[in-house]
Amino acid sequence: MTGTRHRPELPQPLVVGALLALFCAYVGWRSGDFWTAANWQLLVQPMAEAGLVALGMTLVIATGGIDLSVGSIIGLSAVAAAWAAQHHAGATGIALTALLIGGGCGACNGLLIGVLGLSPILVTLGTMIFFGGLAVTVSAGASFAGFPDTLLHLSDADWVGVPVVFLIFILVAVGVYLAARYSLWGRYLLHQGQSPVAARFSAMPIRSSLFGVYTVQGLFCGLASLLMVARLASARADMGQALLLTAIAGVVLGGTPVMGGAATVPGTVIGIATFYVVGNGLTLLGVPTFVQTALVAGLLLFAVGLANQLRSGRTAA
Amino acid sequence: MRCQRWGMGNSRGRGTETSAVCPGASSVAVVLVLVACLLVCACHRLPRNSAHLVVLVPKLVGIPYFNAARDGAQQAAQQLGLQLLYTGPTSADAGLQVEVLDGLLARHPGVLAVSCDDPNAVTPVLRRARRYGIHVLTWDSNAQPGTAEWFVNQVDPERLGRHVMDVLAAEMGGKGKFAIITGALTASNLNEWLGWMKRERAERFPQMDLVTVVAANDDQQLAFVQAQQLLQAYPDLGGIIGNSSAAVPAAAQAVEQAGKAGQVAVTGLSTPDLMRRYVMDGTVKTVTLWDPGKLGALTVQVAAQVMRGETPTDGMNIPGVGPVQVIAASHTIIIGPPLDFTQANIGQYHF
Repeated sequence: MTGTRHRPELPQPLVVGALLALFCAYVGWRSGDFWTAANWQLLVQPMAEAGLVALGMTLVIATGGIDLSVGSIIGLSAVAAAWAAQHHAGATGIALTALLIGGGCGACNGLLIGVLGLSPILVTLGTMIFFGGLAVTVSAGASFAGFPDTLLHLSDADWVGVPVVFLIFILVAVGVYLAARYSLWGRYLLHQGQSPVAARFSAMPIRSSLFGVYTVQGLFCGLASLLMVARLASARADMGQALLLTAIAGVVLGGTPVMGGAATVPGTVIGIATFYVVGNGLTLLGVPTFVQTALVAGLLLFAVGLANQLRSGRTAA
Repeated sequence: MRCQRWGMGNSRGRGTETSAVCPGASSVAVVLVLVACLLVCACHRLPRNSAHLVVLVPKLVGIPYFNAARDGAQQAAQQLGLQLLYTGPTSADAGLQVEVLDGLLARHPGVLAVSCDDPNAVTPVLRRARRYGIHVLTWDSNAQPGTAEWFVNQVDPERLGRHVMDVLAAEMGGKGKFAIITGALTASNLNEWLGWMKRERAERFPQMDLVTVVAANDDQQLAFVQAQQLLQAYPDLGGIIGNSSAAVPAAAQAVEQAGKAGQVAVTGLSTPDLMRRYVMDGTVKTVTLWDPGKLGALTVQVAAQVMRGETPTDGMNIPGVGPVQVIAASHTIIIGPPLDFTQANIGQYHF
């Protein structure tokens, strides 16, 4: 069913990566501040948060689904972490609360999509509003700042100069890469994306696989919310909202087809890195934020157009 | 069935054509986009020495209020011969603002002046900036106390609250019933102003009667409905104070539609753009706020002082702003008296 014959092709992540390298070289030449340890240490922290969400999103999109509720899950997990902090839970307790709530929200999505077979876009649209509303209600829309220092040190901690949050992101990325490429679960997910009908009639445990993928996405959101709480030293119901589109865009920029059926985890890492490095570089060059937004969007359109051109050589799209 | 190859393993079962991708065309496209990127960036020459750079960060870029602040700041920077960079997130999101600030930190500017979207979230990055040796100011909206060297504040809450009450009392002749429509009941700045309005009434206008305070959550439609209800519930109502920028135009609209313009005085805190129509047609005589342009100018002036190692002193006269109030204990600089917009001057302000 899937052709595997050899064709000359230029993988999209390589193209994006090459563009990114050229961009870095250019910014490094124009601005002396770009290749400094401080810049990269600051840069990789928000990148790790968006990266975690994008890794989960890569798997979700590979199944032909989408998760629109990630921003709200992050908000709700952060508010839950704040609640735990208010009740004098230690750093571990706060972390567990955030992960539990994140995973729980993801499991709700998984139950509705995987087990009941409802449409991912409708379910997560609903839960996006529901989780978001719940987070606003619980927090009364206020920002909470009383987290213990042990948790806040997470954002300052480093291992031979590399921020720990970035190492967490890379470890998770390697895990997701191995799972998508070598595990049975990863194979089920990709088959679901390639042909949902065939997958349903096969003997593959599609329901539990889908339940698993949305739960994992929820867990990653919980982890991302924890990193965000540590970096911003505060929690607010709306704190993850900006990450939804960044995560989807990073996945698409990395070359995972938006219709599902394939996953490129290294591509997602490159795609997310592109967004943050380009944004940082343009800020260092003093480019106004409106122009930045347009440039980054132009980059995304270019990459999608390029991917289409690459693919049109193989499929009659 | 091996579909997990690195890259696109998906062909979704469609017939594959054998025509190879044309690498030539892709490369040309890549180069074109790259050249376009470089050209756009090259338009913005980098300052040679960031140590003399003042960075002004609003809560978000692209709204009239902050545009007015930017214009005032740019004028002041030009007079002082300072390099000014005005940049911020494109939406009011604390996370996005912190990302912008992270990038600015690496540039190591002389002064970083921030209007904090969420004081809690922005405080860590501002503390980091100070550890890096960057002068940190806040303006318009403060970080947690003790974070910034100076907070350039619009106006003293006590003075603003009392002033709005005075304006209404003058229009109502110091007696009669009035109501207040406020924004969100959780907004601390609004509550502070509201408290001073009540206190001013109690102390100076015993013949005036505050019948009720309603909250419209900064929703102009809701405020309009509430104003209509107020007019019906209290037929002898003499005045309405709008204690949020959405509440004043809503109250003016309700009064105008009820045909009570001139009988019911409307005043409060709102922007000239929102109120222009009602001020020009006489439904509203006075609306109060402050001048964001002066706020931007004062911030740049304070930034220049801080870079020179000077300490702002109470009553110092700032060119284009006037004498300002400096409260050393709370590290706050206050721009001066509130600004009233009337038919005579509203045409000069656009925010």
